[in-house]
Amino acid sequence: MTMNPTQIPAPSLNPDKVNSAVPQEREYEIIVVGSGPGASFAACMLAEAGHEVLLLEEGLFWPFGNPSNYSREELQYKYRNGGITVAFGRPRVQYVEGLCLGGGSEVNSGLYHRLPDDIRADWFVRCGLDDMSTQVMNAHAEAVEKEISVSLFPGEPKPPAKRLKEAAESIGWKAVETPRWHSYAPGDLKGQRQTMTRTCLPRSVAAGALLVTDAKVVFLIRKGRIWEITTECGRLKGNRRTLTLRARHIFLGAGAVGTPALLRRSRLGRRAGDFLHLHPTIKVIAEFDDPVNSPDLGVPMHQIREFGNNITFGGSISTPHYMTVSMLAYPGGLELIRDKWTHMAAYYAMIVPQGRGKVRVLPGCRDPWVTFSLSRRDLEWLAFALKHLCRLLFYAGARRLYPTVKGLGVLRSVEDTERIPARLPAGGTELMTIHLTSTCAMHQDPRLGVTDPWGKVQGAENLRVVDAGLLCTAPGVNPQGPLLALVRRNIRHWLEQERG
Amino acid sequence: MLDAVSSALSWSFFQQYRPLLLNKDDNPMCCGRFIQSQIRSLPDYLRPAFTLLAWTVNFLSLLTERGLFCRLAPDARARVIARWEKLPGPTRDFTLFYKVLVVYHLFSCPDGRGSA
Repeated sequence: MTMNPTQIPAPSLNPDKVNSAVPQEREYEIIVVGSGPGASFAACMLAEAGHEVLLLEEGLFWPFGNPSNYSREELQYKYRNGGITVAFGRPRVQYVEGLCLGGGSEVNSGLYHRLPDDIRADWFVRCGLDDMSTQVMNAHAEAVEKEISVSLFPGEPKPPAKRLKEAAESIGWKAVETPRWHSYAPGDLKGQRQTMTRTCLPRSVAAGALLVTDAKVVFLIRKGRIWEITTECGRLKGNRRTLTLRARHIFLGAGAVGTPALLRRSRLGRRAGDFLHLHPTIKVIAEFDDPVNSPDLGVPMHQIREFGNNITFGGSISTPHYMTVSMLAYPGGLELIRDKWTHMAAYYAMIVPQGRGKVRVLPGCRDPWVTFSLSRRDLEWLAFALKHLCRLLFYAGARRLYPTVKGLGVLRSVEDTERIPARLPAGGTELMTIHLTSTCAMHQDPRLGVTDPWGKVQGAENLRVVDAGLLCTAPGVNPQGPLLALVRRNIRHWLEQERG
Repeated sequence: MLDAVSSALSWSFFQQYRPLLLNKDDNPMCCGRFIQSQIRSLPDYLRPAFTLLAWTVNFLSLLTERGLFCRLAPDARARVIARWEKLPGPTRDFTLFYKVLVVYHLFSCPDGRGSA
């Protein structure tokens, strides 16, 4: 089935107009590469400040809800490589990235966190980031929250979240509801997710920015005071051609994998891609006696943060087809999903690892090669996190648990959690992540980072990064909130400099 | 070669797992198209490895079943797949990849929610 990207009209952006826009081969003041949260937020600030902005997005514009959320078609059309992307290592870490206008904001659950204060202090001291006091970052966060409507769910938590929350509270653990990029009308419990195609991008267009989809930037070169940008247009629409665009300033927001790959291909940013950080995440499917799941469940919003930023527990997407991937290894697992999926839900444990990874470009290949090495301590922490999550789920009333660790088998009681080894096996543990960061980390020392403390690529004039690659380390929370606060800080600094 | 082996593997797993669903009207062509689309979307550095594995899988069947995998009868294919699934190594991961995609596809159909 071929989906038509223009089936459902968006409230503000015109899909036909956006998907058919073609850039002219001329000089622009600013080109923003990518349209994820960081890039869209930057484009909006720059356009509203009166600058000429051209935004280039590799994917197409698919209005929100088309294809429907967490569907098979969404995986095919809105994710990079159809969702089949892996950081190689032992164990491998499967990751996903959005590939559509609005980037990750269109496909994720929109959970929002501020930058934790201990992480902020660490970056301030260790990476030499100026102008990053608690007050300053809180002011940026407040402005971001206002602009993208961050709010709490106005109703009762959904059953999987409620069970997790009540179990945590019964043993004195800290359970918090995570706000989301959602706006709710009075009495409306469904709300509307505030994706970039509903917030920053329509505002950018209203301020004069030009959005071009199906445009992949493949190479950058500086000629005098101008950047030349080689761009492949029309690949997805079947009329591929290569354009050379020119710009005085470039803001790179192609994602924590795409941006360092572009920099390396262009021989810029000496250490681009050297500091990849991510949050390794392990899943458990829980089976309950009563129904907990329904077709409109979405992602549960409560998280357990008893262990600070280092370990987080929460609920995950629990549609039958997502749960099959975790249940394939269990005999009878698919029959169980068929017959009892409403009694089952997926949960996760996520850690901040010591390990680091790399993004590299292989000769002759378009797609970047990503590696990640978990340390022994990381595998121990994952085991600790898994054991405590499983215990918590038994307290929450789970009858049986199905962790994604080979050979562990079904857990039927709290006593069974003792079977979880002190260190998870590197060869039999299935990990995933949706948070990739730090591949263009900010640091005052060019040997230890890729961008300076304001996001400018070291050694390259008028070239800045505005995606999650900027973050100095993985923050232990969804990185989109911290990223937007940093982008706001950096763009304001740039605007002040430009005004002289 | 990759297309032929992909198609044969997808069809075998489709036949194996479709009986799990209550509504068995799911269209195998739809499943096949989904898997072809996912294969086309693979990172380009994986493509040579996939092609090599498709060759290996196809020709290894000559030893055990005296025929190329993509030309075997369904029951012979099932025997070959069962054997690979028990062996460690890349051929097991290769077949597991198709198995995951087929099962994911089947359970993502409206009828894939079983009794719901």
